[in-house]
Amino acid sequence: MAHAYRAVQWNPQKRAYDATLAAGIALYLALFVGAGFGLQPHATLETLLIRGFGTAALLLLHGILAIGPLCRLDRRFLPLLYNRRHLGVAMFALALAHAAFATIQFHALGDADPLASVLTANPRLDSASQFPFELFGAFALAVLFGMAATSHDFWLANLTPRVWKTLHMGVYAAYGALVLHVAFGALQAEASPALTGLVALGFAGVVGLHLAAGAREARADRQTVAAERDGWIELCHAHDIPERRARVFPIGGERVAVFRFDGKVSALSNVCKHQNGPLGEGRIVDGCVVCPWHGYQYRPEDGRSPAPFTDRVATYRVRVVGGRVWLDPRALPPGTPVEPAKIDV
Amino acid sequence: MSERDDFYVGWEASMSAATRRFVRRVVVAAFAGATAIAGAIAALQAPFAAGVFEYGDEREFVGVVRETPAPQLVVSGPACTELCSARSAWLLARYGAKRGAAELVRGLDGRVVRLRGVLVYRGDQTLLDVVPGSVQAIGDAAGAPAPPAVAVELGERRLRGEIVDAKCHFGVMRPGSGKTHRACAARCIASGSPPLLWVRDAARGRELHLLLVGADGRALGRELLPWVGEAIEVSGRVVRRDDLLVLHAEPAAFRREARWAAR
Repeated sequence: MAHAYRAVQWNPQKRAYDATLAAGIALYLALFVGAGFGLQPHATLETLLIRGFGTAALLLLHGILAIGPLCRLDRRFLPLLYNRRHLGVAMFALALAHAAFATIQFHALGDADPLASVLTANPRLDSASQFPFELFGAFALAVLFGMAATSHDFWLANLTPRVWKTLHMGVYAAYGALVLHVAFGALQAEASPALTGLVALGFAGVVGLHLAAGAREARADRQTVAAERDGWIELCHAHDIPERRARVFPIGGERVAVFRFDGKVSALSNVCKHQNGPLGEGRIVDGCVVCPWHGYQYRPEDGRSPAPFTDRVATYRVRVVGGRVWLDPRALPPGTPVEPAKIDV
Repeated sequence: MSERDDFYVGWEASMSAATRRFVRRVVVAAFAGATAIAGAIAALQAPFAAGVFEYGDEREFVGVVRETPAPQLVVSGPACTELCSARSAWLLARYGAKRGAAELVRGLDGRVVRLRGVLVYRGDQTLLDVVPGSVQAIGDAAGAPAPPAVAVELGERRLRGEIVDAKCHFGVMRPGSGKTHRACAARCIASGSPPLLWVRDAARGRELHLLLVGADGRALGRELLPWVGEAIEVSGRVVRRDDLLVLHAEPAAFRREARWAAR
């Protein structure tokens, strides 16, 4: 949280996460190279490494992109999301290894600068089938570098969450470019339609998960308020909100998380200051709302992170009348104290 | 149900038993999936050609240099080693780089030389990667181990194939053809590695490699780059000198095949 920065704040879960990731990557590469030599006696180590790094990176990217919607569809996937940036940095490292090996293998030791050769060796910009696939890969690598280099919370705080989030949404542009990189490169050089099927399956999986999660969000946003009076709107019965949890209401284009705890109700912006995580899908633990994505905490009575942290989210005035929860839809400045409304019935 | 309701907080030291069980199942499934995908992709790769690059195995050879239309070493008898029984013309390239051998044998046309090199071969086709600085002239043509070759005219032919560079395609790169190798072939050809038209009859498992030169016999290089790695049709005059097929054709008359280039 917004306090002090360390390179990585290790804890047992984070160590287990990274150890599992490293083991998975090592296993994949060992299997790919081993099976490659076993099945293809004339294969070369260089080719298998280039292909192994590239396919590992693309496979990992599918996992990275799947985690977000999976968490929206099933909260039990949240432990995979907490250190997702570690997956991203590892994926970039694999993509960089693929690009570096390929550049050395195919472009170095000739008559031109290897990096210039990557961009110019194939002049067929006029052809759909012969279009230089390297350009898509170079674009994706540049985007991934920007994301990996700014993955630390230091950059999140200094670039502002909005800029950081926009930059990191570039993962979708990188993914699209990598699909094109493969489609215009390896898939044209290989004969098996099953490889095309694998790429199509992965693409369909990523798109399908996002559509499913989006449909769920859209359904939630279609909730209507029960009534309006004097500028306040009636939301629900207080006991419709699970204890120490929240219900999220779309109010004037924003999502408001209304929490019930200890016989009281409080309302906060649903958007975590860290990475726009959904606070309303979090819990109240030890008196604080905890974001389900990365565990950022906010006090329900003023939307402020407990000291020494300084993050703040908008608060809303609430009241409970006859057990019904009413909300003033005008957001108060982040960190504004609001007395929680006592549940009267 | 506890207050936490199995709620996961990543910065804590541990997770609930239920969460741990679920995460373990997901990790096992992910590992199983990755294993299956690694095996599937490895198995689905197109077969690698059986070229050989004797990397690191430098040997000494004696033969007659032929500078045009591409640097060659004509070897015969024992100098052929196990690769030819009588006499053969080996294309030359520069060891350790994507470079041709023109500079290494300049001015030595017709001379007998001793040199060190590394063999690259595919089927009955051989290229010698010459170690820079190892070429020594040891005699003139009169002392050559074999008389000059007679060019045998094989007539006008229309051939379908792919332009590759000899060094990669004979075995330095596997694969050494197709779209993913296109940039490398372009780099090699632009740097002086001999350009070949690779013609194959996949049904019969046969293939031919023809050294591509201009209609007037001049060496071709950069002008081939727009055509490298694609399925093309080339019309020209075919000549055989020793066991080297030479195709005399002008790039202006090349035609692209409708189908995509395949390996």
